[in-house]
Amino acid sequence: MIRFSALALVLAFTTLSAQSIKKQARDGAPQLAMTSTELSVLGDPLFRLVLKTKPNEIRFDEVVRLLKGATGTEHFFVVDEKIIDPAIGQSRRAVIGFKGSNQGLVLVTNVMLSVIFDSNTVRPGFIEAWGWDKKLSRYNYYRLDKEGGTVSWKFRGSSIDADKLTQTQRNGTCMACHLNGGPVMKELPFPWNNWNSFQSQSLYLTPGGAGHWTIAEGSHLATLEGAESMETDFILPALKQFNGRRIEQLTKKNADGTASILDGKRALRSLFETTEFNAISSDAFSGLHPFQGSAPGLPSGVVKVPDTFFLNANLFAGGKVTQYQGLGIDQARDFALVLVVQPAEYRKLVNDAATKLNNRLGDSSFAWFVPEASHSDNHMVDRLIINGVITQQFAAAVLAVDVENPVFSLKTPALLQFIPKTFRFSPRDNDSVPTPHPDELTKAVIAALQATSPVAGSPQADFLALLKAPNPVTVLRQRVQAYLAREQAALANVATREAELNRLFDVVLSRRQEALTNPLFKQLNETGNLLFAVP
Amino acid sequence: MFNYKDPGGTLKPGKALASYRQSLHEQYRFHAKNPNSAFTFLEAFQELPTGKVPQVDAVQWSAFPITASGNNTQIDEQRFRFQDEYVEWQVERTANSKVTQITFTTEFLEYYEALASVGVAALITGIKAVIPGANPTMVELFGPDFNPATSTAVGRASRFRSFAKQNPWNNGNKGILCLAQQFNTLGALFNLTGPAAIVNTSVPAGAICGTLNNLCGPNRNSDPSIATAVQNLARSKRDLSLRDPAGIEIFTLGGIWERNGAAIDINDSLNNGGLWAISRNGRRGVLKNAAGLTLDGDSITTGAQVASRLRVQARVVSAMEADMPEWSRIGQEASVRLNQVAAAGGAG
Repeated sequence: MIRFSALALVLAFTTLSAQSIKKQARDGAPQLAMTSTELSVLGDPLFRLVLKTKPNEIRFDEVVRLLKGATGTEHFFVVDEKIIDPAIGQSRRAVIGFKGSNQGLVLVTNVMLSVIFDSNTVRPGFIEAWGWDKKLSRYNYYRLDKEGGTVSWKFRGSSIDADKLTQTQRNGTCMACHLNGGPVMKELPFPWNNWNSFQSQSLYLTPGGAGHWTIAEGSHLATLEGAESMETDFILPALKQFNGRRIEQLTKKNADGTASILDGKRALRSLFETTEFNAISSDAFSGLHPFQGSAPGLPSGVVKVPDTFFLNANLFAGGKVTQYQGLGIDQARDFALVLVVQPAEYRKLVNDAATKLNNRLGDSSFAWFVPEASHSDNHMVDRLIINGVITQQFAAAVLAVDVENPVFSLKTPALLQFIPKTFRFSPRDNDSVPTPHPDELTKAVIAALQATSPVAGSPQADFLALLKAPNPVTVLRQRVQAYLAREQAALANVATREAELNRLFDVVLSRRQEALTNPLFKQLNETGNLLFAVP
Repeated sequence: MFNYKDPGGTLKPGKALASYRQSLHEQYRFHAKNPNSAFTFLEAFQELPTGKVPQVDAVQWSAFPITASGNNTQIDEQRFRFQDEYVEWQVERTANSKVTQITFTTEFLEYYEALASVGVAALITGIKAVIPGANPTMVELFGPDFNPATSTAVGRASRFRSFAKQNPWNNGNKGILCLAQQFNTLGALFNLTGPAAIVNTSVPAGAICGTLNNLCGPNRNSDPSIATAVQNLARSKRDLSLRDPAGIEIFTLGGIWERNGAAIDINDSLNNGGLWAISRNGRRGVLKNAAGLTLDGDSITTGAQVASRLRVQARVVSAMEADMPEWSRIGQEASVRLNQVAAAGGAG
């Protein structure tokens, strides 16, 4: 009898193993069987190392073990809008990356998991995951959850054409947050507000930390790393790879050595519109976080407002961690020194604005936390220049139209309509000489703008004048210098400093509001009222 | 004196190792005797109660000099101005400027000073262990108008140090031996770790760097990482020290590495085709730029590009202060035993 039962169990398990994962288009949608053809094209590490042969493996520990194999390594990152609060009884979101290789598959940047854990354990029955399918140049998205009654894995779509989706099409899908289809890390740059990082270590997540959570003594938290590693080892390379493939997919090589862009508006959208955002801040702790465990105080030091708040310094100047070639406008980096807010000044700004997190007066962990132009968009533009799709001059002409609004510009999106459906360009690499200005695209856009006889003073008229300038980079540099001089003067003058500070902080608040209310971006706010402090 | 290990394995003859140990011990002694600092001697961890094992934390950071105002080429070419994350590198190129090899080092100048103090032969033997085939002249190592044979040990070491940026076997013209940027010193590492181990709750641990004045560069990757980690250990009532052998280890290369489109696990020394090799106990890493090698889809054009994906680490050893021997705890700077340990290497 015992032997029979055992055999029955083996048979049952074999039957289950022979099943495959289902596909589900969106939350609440029917779970459908995947055809053998659909399954055969899934080439990411999660599918190949786990789900292909063990589709019923729902244990987080085991999924990690199967992904790592004998030689891979686990890397655990933690993010939460209340990460500053060590109290037991809360949950946290973890993102798990892998390095090394397993069965010939390189793991780094190619597979990541996301789970929720509390002070004792990882929540069972829930994993979100993506895997990079190198062959198809796409991210595959998966979710383990209880939808349908039993805990099971679902294939939740791929990144193909994610950037083309309407808001309605995104609802309930992974692409509601993965707006262009690639990995998302909102607080990507230093000091990684809301993430465990070297700048903000969560002692309760470390086994040696005072009052640490029980889970900190386990094997997963033993691999806890700071967000700085997530940024440079995982997200930056992943997005770089992804954007490169996106451009390739929109490019056709011509017989004469030139190449053509097949969908101009789509390829150049990141230059004109905010398709994603990241969030930056000062390196000073605000001292005003409502969950910091002590009475509101002063920032930990002076609040040095980042240069990327004022303008797109990363793209204008290039270099630094993101490694952009950029536009060579080094003066953009001078904005890093233009506004140093004294602790008392900052507290007054926050108090006067009466900003709240979770309906409690206060501010984010780090001061001057604000959306900035995303790495996804900036890298896309930089890559378009490096590949020769657009010239530095063309990019400068677009960016010069609204220098002071590096994110959520209201002016530049209206200019995208003048980009032709297709256009040719001369492909280049790092060593080749760029096509001189004006290139074919620039001439086409000039013609399209002239055909509309833009009203003087409009963004279209400005764009036209910029494109017709001998060197739009020079014009952009002049605008940056003028902007810098104006800010320096306004902030250095006792009579005007307070008003200018208030104006700039209003800009902070308006960008936060835009991130929270814009239909495209509000899905990224997963915590209701904890992401950005607003009145 | 603690039996400090030879981090590179080439401190020969024994006098060189003894000299290095002495300089190292002076660093440990200075900071272990710093009032209120949780920093202590390594000897103390040998006296933990049975069953208590010291904890070792690896403090990691990116080798890319985040404060550098230049582009990647400028960061490569102006090593002594920009490369300030305890990692420096040499880029070797073909006649038409294609990168052939990038060599990263985290070895401290003090290591070679110890060899120089013993004599020219020891120094050259040490250099050849790192750069096979090196044939340095006295002028290349010590500069003009200096006779190492008639100089004192201190004189040779001092001269080697002061000439390190002109020494072609270190400044990249013929090779790279060790760190020479002004902030990348053994003393700087200790001067950061010791004071950061003084508990200061007036600011969040992540802001401790800003309270250490010129001992901590708040905008760098390395200094705040070390300072914050050490401060957090101290706040957790742990005594700590730099693990032996003290120094900076090259940890991993991140990013997406491919050769001719095929993915490579670049950190897998058995299967990476010899493209990336770490040696000297993690103090030296060499990347060979083979045809078709790409990082994140781009060909290798600068060392800074690779540095942006290179992570290094310093290891900190710690234990709960309650488990530490009485003499090593905070506030015991006057203890007889502590001063015996301190004096073990010489003048205390």
